[in-house]
Amino acid sequence: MKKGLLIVLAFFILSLLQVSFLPHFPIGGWVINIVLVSLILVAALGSIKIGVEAALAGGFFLDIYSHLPFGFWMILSLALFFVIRYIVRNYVRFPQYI
Amino acid sequence: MYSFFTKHKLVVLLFFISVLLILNLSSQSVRGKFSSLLSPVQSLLWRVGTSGTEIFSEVSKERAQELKTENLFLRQELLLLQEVTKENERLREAFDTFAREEFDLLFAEIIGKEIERDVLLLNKGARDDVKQGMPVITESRVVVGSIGEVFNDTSKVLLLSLKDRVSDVKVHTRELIGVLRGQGRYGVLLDLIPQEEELKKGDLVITSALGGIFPDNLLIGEIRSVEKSDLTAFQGGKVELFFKVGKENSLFILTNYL
Repeated sequence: MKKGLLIVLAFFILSLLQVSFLPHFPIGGWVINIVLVSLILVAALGSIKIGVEAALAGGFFLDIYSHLPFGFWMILSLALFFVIRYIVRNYVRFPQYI
Repeated sequence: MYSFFTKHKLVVLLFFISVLLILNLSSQSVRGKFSSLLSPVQSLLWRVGTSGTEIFSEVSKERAQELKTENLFLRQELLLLQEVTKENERLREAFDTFAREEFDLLFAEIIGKEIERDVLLLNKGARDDVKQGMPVITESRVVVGSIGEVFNDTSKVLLLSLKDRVSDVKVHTRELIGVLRGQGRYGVLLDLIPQEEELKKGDLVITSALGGIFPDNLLIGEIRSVEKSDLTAFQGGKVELFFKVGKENSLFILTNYL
């Protein structure tokens, strides 16, 4: 529960940075989406529970600042999470050192 | 808790769909409330971002900003003077109809930018009598765009570079009327200039009152490259906008031009 709240808070802050801070630093007109990047990291390294919470929280906050129908970013984030997780679990091996 | 979700997948799915439906039905008020609640924090973050971009600049930041503003002011003044001279020469008796309008300006701070589109969020909304379609300019009278969606305490500015947006413009000194097409990601293209006309790099692009959206003769940008082909009836070119998103903290809404 506590972890879940922390994730919601973290993605809330990330989405604020995405909307109000990062537009100052475009790369060729593109602004990096740190919410999605963080989600990819969570998908690669975190558990499914944390990942789903992160995808829902991140997606919700992106939806707030979007012109698209509510749910677009939430569903996209969830889909992205599961795809990344599937790829990481089946096709990626992290080197293990003793 | 987690096991409940895994056991009752259908219930969770139905709950999720109904939440989305409710959110979509009241999306205007949910988005409006969130943005008005968070606008002070967002305004602060926007200012921090603007200062951040200045760190990477080589010239003394304040001086550079001053000079830029002064330069745009002077260009605007020059534009007005040239227009006045031209009008005097041609139609002296009709001068009154061309008298410069004074605008009612409403100060607004930028609080953010939409994620997917070239749309800015401002901290003024319906409570401040902001209405859809009102033009938005900078301190130095450079056109930014026009008001799109309006919430109670915040509103959105549709930038000229918004993808598929079309605005009527003029090429200054050459009396050419064309359109400016938004390309997204801060890019715009000038179009519909007849082939036989001469376009040059560096020509100023200014607003035209034809479309009824913007007042006449406000600065927009300058032509960076000309694209001409024998296969098309019109020519155009890339235009660099004078308004730079990361450089401004505040804008002005023209409240008496609708």
